[in-house]
Amino acid sequence: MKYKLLLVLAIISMSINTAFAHGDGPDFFRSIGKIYVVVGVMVITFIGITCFLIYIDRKIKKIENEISSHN
Amino acid sequence: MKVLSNIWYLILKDFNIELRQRYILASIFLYVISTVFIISKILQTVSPMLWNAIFWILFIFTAVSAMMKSFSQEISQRSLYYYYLTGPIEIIIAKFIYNFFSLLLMGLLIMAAFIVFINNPIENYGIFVLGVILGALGVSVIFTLVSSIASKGGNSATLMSVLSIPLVLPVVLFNLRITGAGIGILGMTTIANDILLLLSIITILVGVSLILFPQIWRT
Amino acid sequence: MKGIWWKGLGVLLMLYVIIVGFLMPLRPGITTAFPQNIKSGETSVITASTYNARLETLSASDLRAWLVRDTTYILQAQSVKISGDQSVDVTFDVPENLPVDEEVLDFSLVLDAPEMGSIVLPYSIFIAKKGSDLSSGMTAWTSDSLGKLNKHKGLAIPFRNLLFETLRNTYFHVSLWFSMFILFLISVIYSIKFLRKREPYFDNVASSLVEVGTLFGILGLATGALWAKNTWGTYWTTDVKLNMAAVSMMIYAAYLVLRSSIKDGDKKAIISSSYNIFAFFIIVPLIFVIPRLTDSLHPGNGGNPGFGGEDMDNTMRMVFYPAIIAFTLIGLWMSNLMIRYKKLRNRIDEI
Repeated sequence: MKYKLLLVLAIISMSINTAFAHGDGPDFFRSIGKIYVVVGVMVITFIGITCFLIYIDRKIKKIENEISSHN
Repeated sequence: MKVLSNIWYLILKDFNIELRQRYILASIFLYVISTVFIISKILQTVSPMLWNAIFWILFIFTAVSAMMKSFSQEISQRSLYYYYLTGPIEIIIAKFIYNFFSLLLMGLLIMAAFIVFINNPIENYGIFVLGVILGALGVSVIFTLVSSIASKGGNSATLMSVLSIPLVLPVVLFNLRITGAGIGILGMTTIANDILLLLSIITILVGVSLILFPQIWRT
Repeated sequence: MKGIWWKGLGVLLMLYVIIVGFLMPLRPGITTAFPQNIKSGETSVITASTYNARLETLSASDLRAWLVRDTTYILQAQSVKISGDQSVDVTFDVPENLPVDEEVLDFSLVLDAPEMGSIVLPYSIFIAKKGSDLSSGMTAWTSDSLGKLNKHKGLAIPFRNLLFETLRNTYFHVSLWFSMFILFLISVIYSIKFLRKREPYFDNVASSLVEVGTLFGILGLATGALWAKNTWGTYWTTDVKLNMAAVSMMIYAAYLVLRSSIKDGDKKAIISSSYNIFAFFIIVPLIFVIPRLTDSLHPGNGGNPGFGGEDMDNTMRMVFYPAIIAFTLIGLWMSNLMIRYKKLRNRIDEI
């Protein structure tokens, strides 16, 4: 499960890299003094932390299910 | 004195096991020769830089396959027996020494095979052999501890290579520089510094493994 | 309140980093100068493109310009004209002779105005030799002086050509690596604690910290790839620092593989703590020693300026240090969630 999430994270960040680089013409990332590179970096960081939240959320849900089925 | 004789006894024991299982030695020998032969057939001309790189790649992979059995061949009852007979520190020191000499022999074998089958770019044999000795030292220290960890992990064949190859990289990078100086593709100016750094890394790793191994051995 | 203040502090610092990091403007700078090659003994007009210079607030009489080499050979511009939103036309009356006996000499273009401060495009203008009278070249090139240069007013981060606004990535990309290393360091301390006390809680802490640290490392690699693509042109270079970072990620991925390969809880904890300690002692030379031995594009090694040099100044440190603390605190929070989960897991498994 852990590795699957890491893999998903890697794929998402890679696709962000390519999408931003070729999405709106080749120079989108270079406009306004390359500020969108900074935005991209923040988006990647945010996605990474979100993936972690999803991961821990699922694990806690599993525990909740076990407790409720136990009672 | 007791400790030294125990270590000596353990080394002899490993050596005897090695001699009894002669097919392992023969298979490593064949592995090296056939790989070098394939390399020499695929790459018709090998530049000194490439020679150096392939030398260490082959060294690491042969070391992985040779070290794999270092702890996995210890069947549990026998290891329990050693544990009562000697301390874990003596076991790991004996393993270090034994693995160091077998890796050193292996390195010299690979070197000879490279010279015979590919070509001989070595300019300064002293520096080159020193690089091989330090490489055998560093790699044996890392592989001894990692193989003891991998043997506890069960599925040791794949685990061993996953665990050890990234770990061995810093040591091998230093060795690349030292043997590179022996081949003549790098200058001699930084070599003393490299050797000193490598020795300090190895010393730290030996210290860490001496502390960690008793913990691993007890499980 | 107990136990929550540091999480709040982490979030507040992160907010500070995002807000101040984005709002603090870049200092003005010159991006390009055209034409690059001019001849001695001719009057040439050089068009300089500026960035963030706010030319509309300046009048042409405030602007001064020079061609400078080694701060000894100076030529003041005849006239400076603002020719667009972000461009300036500078007219130079270049003397017949060069001060140094070379076919072509390179000069830096310097612009100066009050409020804006002085901005430089180094080694950008190449002047070809015409006459060969060195002594008259000397007098022609040393008669002008820079006078009193203005300082930029207001807080701003340095202008770096090629990097532009991406200099702000330092706050995120570099801080991720720093906090990853701090997390790994704490995890090693807990692994040592575990081996001494054999308390399963310590192993939970160590493994959770490694998991979050590995996530930060992967994010560091991904953000670094994006930044490299837009500065160096490729996602990945064969640079030492990049490869060492990748190898240390492999080592910690191996740690996670090792943990999942051992089923027995107690044995798992002992073996993986040992591996964690051993790996850390290999990673320290990998990240701190080896990159310093070889040249690389990446700042901080070889012949490149590190964070003590021009890449980092005091205004950037005002954001950079809080950013490290913010990422570390958020990482600790994330691992705290993981630790609490593992604690629950262990307790449920006991029942």
